[in-house]
Amino acid sequence: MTAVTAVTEMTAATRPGSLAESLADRIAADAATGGPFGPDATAARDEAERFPDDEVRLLDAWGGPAAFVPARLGGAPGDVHDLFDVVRVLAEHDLTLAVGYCKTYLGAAPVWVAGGPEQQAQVARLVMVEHAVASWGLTEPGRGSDLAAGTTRARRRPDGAWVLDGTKWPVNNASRGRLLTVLARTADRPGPAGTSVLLVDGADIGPGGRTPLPKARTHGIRGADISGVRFSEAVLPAGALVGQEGTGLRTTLLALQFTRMVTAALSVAALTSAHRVVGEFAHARELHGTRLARLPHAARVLADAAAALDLVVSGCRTALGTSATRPAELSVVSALVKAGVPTLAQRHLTALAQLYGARGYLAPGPVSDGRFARLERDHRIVAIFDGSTAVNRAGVVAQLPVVAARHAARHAAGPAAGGDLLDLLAAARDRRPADYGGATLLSRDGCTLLGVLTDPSAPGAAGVLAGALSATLEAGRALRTVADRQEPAAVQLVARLELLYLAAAVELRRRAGELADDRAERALSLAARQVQALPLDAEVAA
Amino acid sequence: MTELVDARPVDGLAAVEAVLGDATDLGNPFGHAAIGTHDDAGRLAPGLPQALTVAGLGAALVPEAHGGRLRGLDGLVRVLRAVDRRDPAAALALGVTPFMAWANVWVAGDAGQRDAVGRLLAAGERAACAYHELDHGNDLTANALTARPDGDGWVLTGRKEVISNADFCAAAVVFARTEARPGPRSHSLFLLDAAVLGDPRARTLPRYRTAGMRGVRLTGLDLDGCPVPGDAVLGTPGRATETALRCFQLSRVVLPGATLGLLDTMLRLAVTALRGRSLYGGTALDLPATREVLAAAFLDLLVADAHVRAVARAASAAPEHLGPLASGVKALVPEILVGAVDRLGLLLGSQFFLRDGTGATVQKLVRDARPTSFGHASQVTCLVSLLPHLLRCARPDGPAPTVPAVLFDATDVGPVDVSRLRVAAPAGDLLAARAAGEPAAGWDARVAALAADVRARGLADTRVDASAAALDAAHAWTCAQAAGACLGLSDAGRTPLADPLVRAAALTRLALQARRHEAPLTRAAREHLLDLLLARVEGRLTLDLDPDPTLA
Repeated sequence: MTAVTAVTEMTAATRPGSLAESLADRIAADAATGGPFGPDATAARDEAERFPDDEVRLLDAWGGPAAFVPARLGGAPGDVHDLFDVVRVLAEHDLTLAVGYCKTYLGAAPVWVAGGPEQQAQVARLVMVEHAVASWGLTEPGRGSDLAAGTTRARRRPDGAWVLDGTKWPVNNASRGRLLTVLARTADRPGPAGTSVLLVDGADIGPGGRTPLPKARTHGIRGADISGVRFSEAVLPAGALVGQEGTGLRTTLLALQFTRMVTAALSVAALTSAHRVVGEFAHARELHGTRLARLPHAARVLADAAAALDLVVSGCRTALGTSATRPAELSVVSALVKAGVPTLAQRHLTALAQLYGARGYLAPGPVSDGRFARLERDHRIVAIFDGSTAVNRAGVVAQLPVVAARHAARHAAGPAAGGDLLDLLAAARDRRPADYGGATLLSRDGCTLLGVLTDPSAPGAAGVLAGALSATLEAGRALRTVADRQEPAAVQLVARLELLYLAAAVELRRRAGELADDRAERALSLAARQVQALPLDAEVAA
Repeated sequence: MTELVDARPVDGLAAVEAVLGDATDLGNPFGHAAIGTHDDAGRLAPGLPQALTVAGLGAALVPEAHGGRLRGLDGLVRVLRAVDRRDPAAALALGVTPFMAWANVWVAGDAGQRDAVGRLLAAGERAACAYHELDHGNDLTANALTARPDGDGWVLTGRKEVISNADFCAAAVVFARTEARPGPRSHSLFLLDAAVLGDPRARTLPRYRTAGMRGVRLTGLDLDGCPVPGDAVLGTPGRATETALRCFQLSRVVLPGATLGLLDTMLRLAVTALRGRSLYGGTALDLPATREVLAAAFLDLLVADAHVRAVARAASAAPEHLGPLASGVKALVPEILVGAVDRLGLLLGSQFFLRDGTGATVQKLVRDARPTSFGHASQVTCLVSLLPHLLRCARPDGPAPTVPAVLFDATDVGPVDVSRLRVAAPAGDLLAARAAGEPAAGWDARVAALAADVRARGLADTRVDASAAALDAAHAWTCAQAAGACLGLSDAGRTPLADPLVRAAALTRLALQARRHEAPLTRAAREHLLDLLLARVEGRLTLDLDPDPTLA
């Protein structure tokens, strides 16, 4: 049975000797001995909507914060690759824990992107040695994802110090973070050039300057500290500025390119857990005189979920490789991954939930440990935070003409054997560090990975995907006006491109020998089906 | 843009709206805020069951002939939907669950049983419908709770699990094994009254807590040699499976039909919230992508209501044909509903994730929507049950059924004669037949291709182990049924589907749904639907086919 193999293949693979493996082992040992990582403790903590303080203390003691710091500053040797695996391991245990713990990377990312050497060393020390929590103050009440519209202000005093006023909410870990990177308006002129990022160290501010706002009650990740902070006349030292004055929005957007790629690990983990839970159930469940997993429909749901896992894992791997070798393409790649991975994962979570039935809906109790209901509930935030799917798609739409033009130029130069792209995988395999300085707001090279899907006459699903890619990009080149680019049809093109990116990653891994042919073909044909399910012209398709 | 408010009164609808009051009033004990607070605590709003009884909810479940006021199922659906717009948990616990129990009594009970249970429900008592055993899910004939004859009566032993109202009911219908041999004639139905339920050998299981529908008390029955009198058998012993297959035809329409109220409220809240959110120099409602999601969800609601409406009316007008039509509704409408609710949830972004204010109601609705799809009968169960019907319909020499016009008009369709419900429907599909003659969006060719596909698969591929492709065909068939319903309603005039733009958009959307494809509406359809939607919200009218006044 394909489904049987799939279940055993799909457990999270962590690299021997890595930080993620060490944390996974310690978590398993703690859970087995009735510690805070145990299933009952986790369920009870979620029920009580409590922050995972005990788990965080243990993770700190086990060296977890190294994941948040670049290797060159003394962090985990595997850099973002280690971080991705750590997020995945923690999220497979509990999404609230992963979101609550790993927020420090998001808070520190602007410093890794734009901070000066001393500032970077200082933040690395605070995070690794003092286990300081860093948080990221971007959103403001009522402003949604419109970052440039923020009203938090920082004035520079004659002595060089900054005075900060304004409210940031909702912000993950706002009331726990000693460190907080804040996007603030530092000049009167409207627009992005009037913004700067400032690093707030709670140790520098008097109690009056920083007022924590109460935790918001949330639908999922119920224990997470989704709260806020109000600054009134908070005085920050001159060195609080991150990067140049006036580059706040730019720094923020560049940092998001790295964090979005890492956030996708939450979806990978949720789909991994869901597939395991439902797969075990379906193999044990007797129904109509057979086992549920043997019924063709159930087998298809499980096999599709396994194929989807191969797609999302592959896409994340090439994205991580991109951050090391082609960081200037991240504006496209990380947006495709951040939009595509949670969307695909959610679709298969929903299908798995159907198969799991009432059990997947039960809170912890005698019948269920409530794990599935919790992860299904929690996963919904992944498509919303760190840039919603809509925001990421809008970012790609704007770059579609360049992506199309570059793809066409490469295609004209002859079909890519993929050899020039294998460095993406090599970078992931060798754990090459992310190149924070190499990111750019727009990708001049488009998205090179798509070049593996240039041959419509290729056998199997790869050929279908190549045809779909060329049709998608052609339609992208036809988007002439801003109004065109805002139309849902343009957004649909990006949704297709997300799947095509993930498929290209699978195809590359197949060519590199990382994925067996039949397994790659399964993933590619799922991607082909799902791209076809997003037709370019509804009238014709109907 | 204005529409005429439908003057056709639905008994009980106005009374239910009146007791529920203004949903947005923070001081209203049955407003969104109060209901959300109690839902968080796992209970219905105090006083709500009594108020709904006064408004006639219980009486709406029971036919006129048995002491209530029920005529056609379409009227019942509209009343239940009014409750669902406010609190899906209340609609389930106080309306849908008692109706499901009642349906068994209605279909199989004798005159005394019908009068007794009818009176109880009309007076606002609750009833439980105890079929489900966790180990057997949708596999009805594997159910294990056993009844063995004992003198003049029976002794029941076993458990029924995750049963709504089981700890809080005046009557319970229990599906029990009465023969050890496997097969469809080994189970019987029992009607347990208050005396039996009060027996110490009839224990209630502890409450199951769920992610959503938190106000519904889901418990179960643990019967340990519990004696039951001989006259508690419902219908002919050994025929419970057949009874179930007949009364499910009623509940498979009523449950999804009621749940559309949830989408109505979700859509209303989304419009209100997005209007007030400023973004990139305008409001979120100015963005084409936002307008698309709202307009498409509105169209989904209209399409799903058309499907429910036509099938609910078929219960009165052509009950022999109800089985496959009702399975189609239960397979497709929850899929449409959950999809639309999820897209609206994503659109609302972080507002949806916060559990305060509007977000609290929105996230409750997202959670409450889920059991619609797997509860009662899963999509796969319904699709499998459609397969033999498809094969009969696919015969090239099959009869072309006469489609009664009354399925689509606004007349009183009359009461339901449950004695005419059939386990196997006659050949011919009243709704798919309507789509088969429609060239728009390629429906005629699609239905013909489906028939050819089903014929090629043959009888072997119509069973519980049906291939995934056969289930895909059945799924596409349910879309053809919905398209037929939309066409019928469109031709009948009066509703928004009569508008050529909306009609074409509905047919295209269902054609996409038939292949599980997604694509945006045309710009013209989107803007037209959005205008209509905004006018409905502005005028405090419901968002389903008939714009009823509502305080939701």
